[in-house]
Amino acid sequence: MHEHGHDHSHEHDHDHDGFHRPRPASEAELRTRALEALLVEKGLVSTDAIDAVIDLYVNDVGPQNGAKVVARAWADPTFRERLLTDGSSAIHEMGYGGEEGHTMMVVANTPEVHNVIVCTLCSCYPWPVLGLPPTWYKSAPYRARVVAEPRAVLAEFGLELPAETEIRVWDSTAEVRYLVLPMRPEGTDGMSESELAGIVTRDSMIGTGVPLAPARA
Amino acid sequence: MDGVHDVGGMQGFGAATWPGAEDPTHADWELRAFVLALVTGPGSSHAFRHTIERLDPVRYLSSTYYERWLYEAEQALVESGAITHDEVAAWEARLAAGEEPPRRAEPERAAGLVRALRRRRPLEQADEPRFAVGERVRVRRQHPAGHTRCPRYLRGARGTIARVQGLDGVPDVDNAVIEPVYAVAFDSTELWGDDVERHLVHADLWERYLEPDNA
Repeated sequence: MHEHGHDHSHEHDHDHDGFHRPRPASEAELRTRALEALLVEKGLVSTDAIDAVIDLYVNDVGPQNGAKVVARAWADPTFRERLLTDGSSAIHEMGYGGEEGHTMMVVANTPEVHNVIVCTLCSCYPWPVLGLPPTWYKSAPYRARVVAEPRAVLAEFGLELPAETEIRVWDSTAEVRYLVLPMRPEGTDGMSESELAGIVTRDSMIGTGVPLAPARA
Repeated sequence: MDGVHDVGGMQGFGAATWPGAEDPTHADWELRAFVLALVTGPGSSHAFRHTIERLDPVRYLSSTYYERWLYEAEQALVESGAITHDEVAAWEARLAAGEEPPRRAEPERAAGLVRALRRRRPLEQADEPRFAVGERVRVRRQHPAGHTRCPRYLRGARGTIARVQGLDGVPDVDNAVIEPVYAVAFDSTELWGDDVERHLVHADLWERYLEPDNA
């Protein structure tokens, strides 16, 4: 198992624990290039397929998709109802779906309830609507702590919730993927759906943040 | 298995965010390792996750997310007999000596892969679930040697069925059996005692992880 284990010789200063920052990439980068070369040589993968899938997850899929879903839910009460009842179908209506997002459950924040999502067992995340997860979402501190002390964790993200707000944490332990529907901010009445999408942040759809304040007219 | 990957409720890991933690990736190789694992991986997500869970615990915790995907990609292909570690090491030496890696273009295969990743396969409805919404349940105590998606911090805890999510293959038997999956709500004091914040934790649990709460 240690044929290519790390020898912990570092080329650069290293002032964080391993999970806080990638180690100098040379070992993993070389191993990745070697594995790709071998698989291409054997005909098990093709170079353009790797490039196409990277393009999918870097350019097509990302929080801009989730933001459009949220904006439509804010603008259209019947869509909001469908989204909360059958998230998978409502999101698919908008053209989003696929790997790590086959079955979607959308949980709505209200003045009384704040939702936040996590995966304590690995790093399950709704790729079709949020893209690939931020590093903190995949790291031990968030995964370990948010199920036990969500209020303290949210405060570290700068989100201080009223004491009376009920926090609901959703641990993605099966194949259902979650999306938080944040509350529509005050002062957004005249905004179009695409303007609304512009104030929906990634973290507001994970539950570690809230939408941006609308720019004053 | 009750491995170090199952971190819910563990303490001592430090701050939840830090400079640089907002970015999904930090180097180009990470995306290539991610895609290699994604497109060559074993048939099921359960087998994929279990390969990572079998990592040496010290190495698991000291690896970054994409280092684990890289490990998974190679390990799963070695275990299936498609490649050997020595073959990868040989290519490392050739690349380090300046050899250009081979390239291969198969546009139809590339397009097919992207289509497959976009295909939608929602869970089927569970018509005859054993438990109903609102019913009180208890998570069975178990100590499984193989893969499971029942986190340690929920074992033995009492909760309430919040939603019937649908039918899905059981991870513990790599999809050989299909069962209902339930979203179960747990009060934080049931999980962590009286001296913690009050909140609800929901988790999606297969039917076999649950028993009626008769207490």
